[in-house]
Amino acid sequence: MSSGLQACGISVERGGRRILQEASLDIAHGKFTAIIGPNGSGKSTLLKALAGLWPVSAGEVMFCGKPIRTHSRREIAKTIAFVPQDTRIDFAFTVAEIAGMGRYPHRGRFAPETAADRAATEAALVRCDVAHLKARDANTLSGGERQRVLIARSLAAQPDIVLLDEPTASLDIEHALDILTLCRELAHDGHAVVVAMHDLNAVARFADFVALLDEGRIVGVGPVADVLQPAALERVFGVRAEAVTDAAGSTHFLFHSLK
Amino acid sequence: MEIKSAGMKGAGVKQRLRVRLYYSVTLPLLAISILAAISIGSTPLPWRTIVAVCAIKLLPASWLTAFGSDVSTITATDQLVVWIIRIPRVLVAAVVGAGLGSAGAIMQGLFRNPLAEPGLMGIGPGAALGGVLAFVTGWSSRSVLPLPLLAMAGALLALGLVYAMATRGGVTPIATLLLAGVATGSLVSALSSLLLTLNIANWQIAQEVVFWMMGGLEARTWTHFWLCAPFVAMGLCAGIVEGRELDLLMQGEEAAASLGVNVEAAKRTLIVTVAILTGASVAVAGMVGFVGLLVPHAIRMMLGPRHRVVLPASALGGAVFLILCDLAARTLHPPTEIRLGVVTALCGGPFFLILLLRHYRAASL
Repeated sequence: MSSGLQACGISVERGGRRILQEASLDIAHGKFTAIIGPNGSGKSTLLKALAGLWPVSAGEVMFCGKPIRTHSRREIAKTIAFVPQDTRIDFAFTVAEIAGMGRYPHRGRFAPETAADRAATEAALVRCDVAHLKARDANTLSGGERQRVLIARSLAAQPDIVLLDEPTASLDIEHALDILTLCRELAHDGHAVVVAMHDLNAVARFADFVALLDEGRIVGVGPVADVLQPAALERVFGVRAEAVTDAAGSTHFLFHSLK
Repeated sequence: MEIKSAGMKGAGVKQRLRVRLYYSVTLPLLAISILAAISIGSTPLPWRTIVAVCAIKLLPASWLTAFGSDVSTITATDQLVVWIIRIPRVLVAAVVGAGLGSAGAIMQGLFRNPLAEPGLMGIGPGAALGGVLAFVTGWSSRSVLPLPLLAMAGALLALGLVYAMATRGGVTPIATLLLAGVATGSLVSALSSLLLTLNIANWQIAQEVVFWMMGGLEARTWTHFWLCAPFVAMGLCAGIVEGRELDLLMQGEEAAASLGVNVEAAKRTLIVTVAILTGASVAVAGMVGFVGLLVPHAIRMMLGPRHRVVLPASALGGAVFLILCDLAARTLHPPTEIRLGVVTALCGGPFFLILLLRHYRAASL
């Protein structure tokens, strides 16, 4: 796990507007890092910049000691997996075919699927609990199943770092908890897991570290308990946050409108 | 765990069996339709005559004795009908069908849309305008070459224009490409119609232009075959080489990039490939619709969406489909030929609907 990934004072511009400003973040292996912030605060942008998918206008994303833009896509894909928010699957690929696509960076142009490819795909399907679906057409799956299959696809590449862009955005509570539990387990296995998410109570329950974004700037970063403070949440989200401790000793937030 | 990996292999084996079944039906079908298309027509020819003429043309003279009396009874007329009139036409139909079928498959993958067809991106209309120019200037009546060459130039110019408009800083968003393509396509089609209107008084030119826009393979020669075949072969190979990238692009560009695809380079290669396939096909056959839409769709329903499978299968399926459509075009209503584009739409439409209905019925079970 020598593959370090850091954002060093990066800014991202789109259409003449700065959507990320001088953001710095160290991605920790074996930890679940949550990226939170209001809509439009730059969560997705930060994630995509970390994946090397969007160019930065200032600063540098450093990957394995070199700027990420100097690595080939193929090299990056072997180590960093990115699960996009768009989970649309229009064509009738089977679940096994979708997951097998994760092996792309490891395979030569005409190389047939090797035993190692099959094993990695199979392990990823089992890991995400979708192995029983592999003969199914992926465009017939439910939202929760589809999200798991896409995570399996990213794990088939055997990455060290997994970046997920709002993986729970369109899921019901049960499936959302399943996905976050899976992310938690991946971190436990030693992956660096970075998740852009909205549910602050889920952050409090599942994440180790939090980066709090406000209008393109990181205004708070550190262990969950340090960043999820009522005052900071009120400033960034514009709501009054009340921290409650339950009988088991975990913290929950209740939110109240300021109006 | 072992049972599970056996299950995974099982799904792959089933798919490979289906692919093998497809080829074991379609390859003989191709041979039969080629033979049938050469033999059926205003002068019916027995298959022995066809084989004998091919032997005379292709084999060294000393081997011909093996064919005995078949060869000695062949007349100059037989040779003319088989070798100069029918065979080039059938082969051009096969190559154009292959080109349009595989171009459609690539377009649908690239645009993530099962309704995309080679005419989008302005390539088809560009080729059509090139052809119309060849008729209007009268160059097409002087030799065989100006028509296909101008059509191909039109296809590439239209693509160049669309690509330049849609690309900013080395990035070509697919949505912009589609919009620029549709806009350019309408503009270029309008120019074709304008040229047609201006020349409507010249009955012969107007008829040629209208026929060209409806597609057709009358009077195609070996020159047309050699103009088209190398480009279609090249485009098909390029598509198969980029097949895995196309599979990944179908998952969305961000997903493809994050899985290791150099997205802009792959898109560039694929777009040029579509232009070569479509340009070469329209150049020798005029505007033949429906093949690029229908064939890959049917193939995907049968064999699944993986492009390394879909592309060669679409080429083969397109070839058979167009040979049969052209056969129908020239034999259904003699002595008039029905336009090929009309036949493809007439046979293609209902066939497509039946496939679609069956597919949804199977999916709902």
